[in-house]
Amino acid sequence: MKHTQLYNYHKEHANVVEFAGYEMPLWYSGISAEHLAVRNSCGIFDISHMGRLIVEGDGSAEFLDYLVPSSVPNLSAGKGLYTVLCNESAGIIDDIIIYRLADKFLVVVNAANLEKDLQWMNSKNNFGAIISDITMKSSMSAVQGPQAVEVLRKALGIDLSGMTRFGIAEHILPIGNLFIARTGYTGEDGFEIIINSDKPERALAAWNKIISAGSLPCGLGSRDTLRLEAGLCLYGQDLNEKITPVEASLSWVVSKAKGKYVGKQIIENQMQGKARISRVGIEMIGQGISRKDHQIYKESRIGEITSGTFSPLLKKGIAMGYVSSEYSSIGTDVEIDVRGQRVPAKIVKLPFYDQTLYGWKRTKKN
Amino acid sequence: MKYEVRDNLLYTKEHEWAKILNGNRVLVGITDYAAKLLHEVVYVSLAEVNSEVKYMQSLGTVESVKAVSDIFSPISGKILKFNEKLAMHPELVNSSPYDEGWLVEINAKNLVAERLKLMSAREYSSFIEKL
Repeated sequence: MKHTQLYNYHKEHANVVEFAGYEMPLWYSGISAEHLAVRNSCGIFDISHMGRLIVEGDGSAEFLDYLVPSSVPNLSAGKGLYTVLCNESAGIIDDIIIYRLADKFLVVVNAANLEKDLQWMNSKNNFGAIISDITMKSSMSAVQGPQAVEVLRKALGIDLSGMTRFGIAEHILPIGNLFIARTGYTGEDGFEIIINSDKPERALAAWNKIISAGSLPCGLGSRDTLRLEAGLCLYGQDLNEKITPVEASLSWVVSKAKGKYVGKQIIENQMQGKARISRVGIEMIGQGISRKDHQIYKESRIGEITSGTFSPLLKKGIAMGYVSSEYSSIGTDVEIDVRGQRVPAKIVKLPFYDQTLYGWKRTKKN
Repeated sequence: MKYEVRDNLLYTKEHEWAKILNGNRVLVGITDYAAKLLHEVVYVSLAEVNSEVKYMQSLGTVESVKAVSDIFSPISGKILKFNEKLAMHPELVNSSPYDEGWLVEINAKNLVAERLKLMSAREYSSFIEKL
């Protein structure tokens, strides 16, 4: 079993579970309390299990551009983009973030897919790019919530309020050499911080400072409920190698005016309205909570749930799943088979929460 | 983690408890161990009043944020009532698994024979210690 640099802290303070080969915190104070801390103030997650790759060298931009449907050459230094690695049939190998630094790229991938992604990237590297895995030589945390800017101002003495969403910058601080990106997996404003050091005491010092500045330690339990409430995909549940980005309702990552890339033909065909199935958000109307693998019905079966939970914010069952595209419009009434009982539900837009009140785009204080 | 086990109750391997009241009436709930493992119960669905349940067959489900878990009846009989407070306050299953968080009351059919199949508090304590 692998451990992150903060494992001793987790062992002492959290309920620890196995995830993607790591022993990770599931929750510290409770899933709902951690979830609501992120929605209303600030939480911190250890996400050091996420894979971190540096891609550099002359051909690196062209190389990454060939691997994803988004445009990498158009990405300016100091910016990141969410995208997908696809196979030849446009099936999603992984969902990733590519950040462009001054002279190289940082690619953040799912922990469970790191080895697979590395193999895939190496097999396609006819561009002379140099790929190095820095996962174990660094740590990574996510500081998320409407108070994240204030918390990091207090904890690290830096003002991040001017950063744009998906921006990234390098910081040389007493605590170490960091990358800070304004990204996250919760729907809230927040930052992901990579400390380029294999010394656990550095990771722990930053972790404790950020907690003291007003951040609640959060585990994978609330990370999952938060990302689902925000309508974000979890690889292995909502995404896999048989699903294309168009089917996954991720067409917005596809750059229409770009040259050759892996999976292009199928993606472009589907973009013209030929996707069989679509990912949708589903809210339960009747009592009960829909879970992964529950079947979705209209008159007959129209699809399947891929992620489902109880929303600690909305206090009801929320889910994502795939339905035949003809049934994917917002407002469609459906039924979910919850262990033998048909429970009424509705297809709703994502995210599940009111974006004027919650999430990084919020306009009102609550 | 520490789990409370009450002396005056009988227990199943699936972490339900049974409290024998007057006559054939038996109160049923889930143990502190089960409640802590489930973590944050958000929804409880129970068999209807007057329905028949059988020994170690499902009498409902308890759902937490993360997962759903069947509740197995420690005893055969008819459901007399269920804990109506749980509809509004499912968290009572976590905060008070042996008192306010009880699930159903059953009129037992075969109490004398079936109670012998259940564990005592001491047996249950050593059972969960080994898990």
